[in-house]
Amino acid sequence: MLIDSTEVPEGKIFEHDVCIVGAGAAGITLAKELEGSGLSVALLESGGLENDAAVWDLYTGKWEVAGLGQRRDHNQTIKLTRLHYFGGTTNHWGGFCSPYDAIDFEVRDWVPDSGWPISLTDLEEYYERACPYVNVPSFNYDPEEEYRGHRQRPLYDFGPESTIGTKMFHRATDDPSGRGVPTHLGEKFQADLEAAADVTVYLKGSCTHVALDSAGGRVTNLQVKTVAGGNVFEIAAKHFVLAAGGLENTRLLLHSDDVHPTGIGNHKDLVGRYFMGHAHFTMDAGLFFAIKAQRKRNLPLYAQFIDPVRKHNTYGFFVVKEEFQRAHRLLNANMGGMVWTNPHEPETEADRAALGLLEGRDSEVLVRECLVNVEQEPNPESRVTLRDERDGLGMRRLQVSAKVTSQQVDSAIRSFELFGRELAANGVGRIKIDTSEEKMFWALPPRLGAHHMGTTRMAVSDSKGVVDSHCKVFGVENLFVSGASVFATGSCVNPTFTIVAMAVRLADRLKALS
Amino acid sequence: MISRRKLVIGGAATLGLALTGCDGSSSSGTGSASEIAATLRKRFGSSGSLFGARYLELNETGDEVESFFASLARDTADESALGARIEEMIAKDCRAGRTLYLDHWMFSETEARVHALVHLHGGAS
Repeated sequence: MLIDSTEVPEGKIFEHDVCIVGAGAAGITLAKELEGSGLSVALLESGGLENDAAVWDLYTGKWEVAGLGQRRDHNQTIKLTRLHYFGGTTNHWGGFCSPYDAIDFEVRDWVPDSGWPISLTDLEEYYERACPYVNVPSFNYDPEEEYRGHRQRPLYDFGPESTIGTKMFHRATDDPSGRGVPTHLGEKFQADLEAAADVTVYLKGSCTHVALDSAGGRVTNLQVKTVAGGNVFEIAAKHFVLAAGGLENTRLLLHSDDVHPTGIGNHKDLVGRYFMGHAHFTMDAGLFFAIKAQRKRNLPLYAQFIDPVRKHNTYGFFVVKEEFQRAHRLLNANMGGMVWTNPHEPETEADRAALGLLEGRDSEVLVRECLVNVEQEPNPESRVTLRDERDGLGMRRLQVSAKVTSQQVDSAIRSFELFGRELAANGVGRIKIDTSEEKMFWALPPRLGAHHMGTTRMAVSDSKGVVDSHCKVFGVENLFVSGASVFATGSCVNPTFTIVAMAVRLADRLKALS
Repeated sequence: MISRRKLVIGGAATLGLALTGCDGSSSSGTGSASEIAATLRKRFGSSGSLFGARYLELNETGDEVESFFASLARDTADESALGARIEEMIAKDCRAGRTLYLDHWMFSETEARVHALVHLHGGAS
């Protein structure tokens, strides 16, 4: 059932078993998983079925990226990277789906505050169950297994001894050619949820307060306000899930400070800390590939192709294999998104000379840039806080202060060097690195991607994080968080597939608790 | 500025001296230094001469480079075998991290020496 919140009478109180805040990738998945379970589910969405400028404006804030002695603002980031209507940010996502690596969950002594209380093994069955939600083929992302015996594979295979491997991404789309737009979860599941007898979708209603009992250990209800109607009502439930995105989950916890003065779950001052995005370093680099030779062998160096096994749109990115990330103490990174310049356009005498080195080797393309996408290590100083300024519904606006560190720059460079060595060892290319920390900082897209992670991180105890291994907020018995804000580390892959997998897992938990 | 170039270059020079370790003779079983250079020019081209010059500026002397190849050539049957062996050494260099930067381009230490020798003996033709 769909309810237009602007038409709800002032002061009305709805009662459900589970109330989910946010109808994006996490919230819709949760609602779908809980449908038919015998539980009455409320799915609260601040927007309607289409984008509304007035609602979108509620979520603007300040955005600052700093580090390496540099600082820059990009205050449009929050608005540009998050959408607030049914389907959430899946209404404009890129659709890249790949599971996290095992190493992402591990404690790495060279990555401060790394380690999750769960492992990849704990998530594997949920990745499998996440596939139909986003329209990707069943889970197998090991290129060695996937393409054994096939003539075509996604990327150049440097061999089993190589430091460089292939990270597979399936594109979330119901168009197997990959030409279509990525799966919008709102469009995909609107009719289902509208028809569901046990799921009520409240559109155009924004959660503005999470109300606790007087002891502060249990959520009693949510306050909901509407922009268009100006009305206020409440939703009471046995269990509550904040699934409003990495920034909004934080805002709701910090803003709801009437019982706990520092906000909910924030008694250790951890809500909003450890904010992570992905640092997309555009390496000032050039690569010369012996493309004709590659084509003869059907071994591309950058790949978007139709998976010959599953007939699905697939991408490959180069990565440093996990054992070499350990050996070289690197952050996880993928390399790809190369910008091709064709024909050759060497800028300097040295570039011209380097190009000449591949003459006679069938080289035909000069690649000028390569994106190295690096995880940002957990950093308590990289954080989301609230400003004094308030939005149209009276909530304090966001301040995001993201950090770029030397460790990220160093991992980008050293990962790219390992890649360059493999290219040279195999005689298929070479790299150029001409960079400084300052230059790399200013070449970074200031948004640090559109992935907002870590601000309500999962941990074994409340001294290290905000939620436990089941995504329950420490110290509050019936409040859960779903989405990338619970991620303890950010990996080098897009987060949505993991968000959906973890939402499926949380739904199982909620069913078990009920 | 991230400065690892000097470290790498230092490593390259040390390795070069260790590998050379000979009398510096420029003649060998496969020919004189200039003949070796001609062989390598045929196999690896001459456009790397610019990088060769840079390598000689920053890393080793011409004598050291010539000694390196003379020593290599003495143990190698013919031109073809020399070229193949050098390619093998380049791959091994890369996998072992024995690389350096010349004008921001990454080279294996052995390949940098190849360009240096070609530069010493006429460079780009």
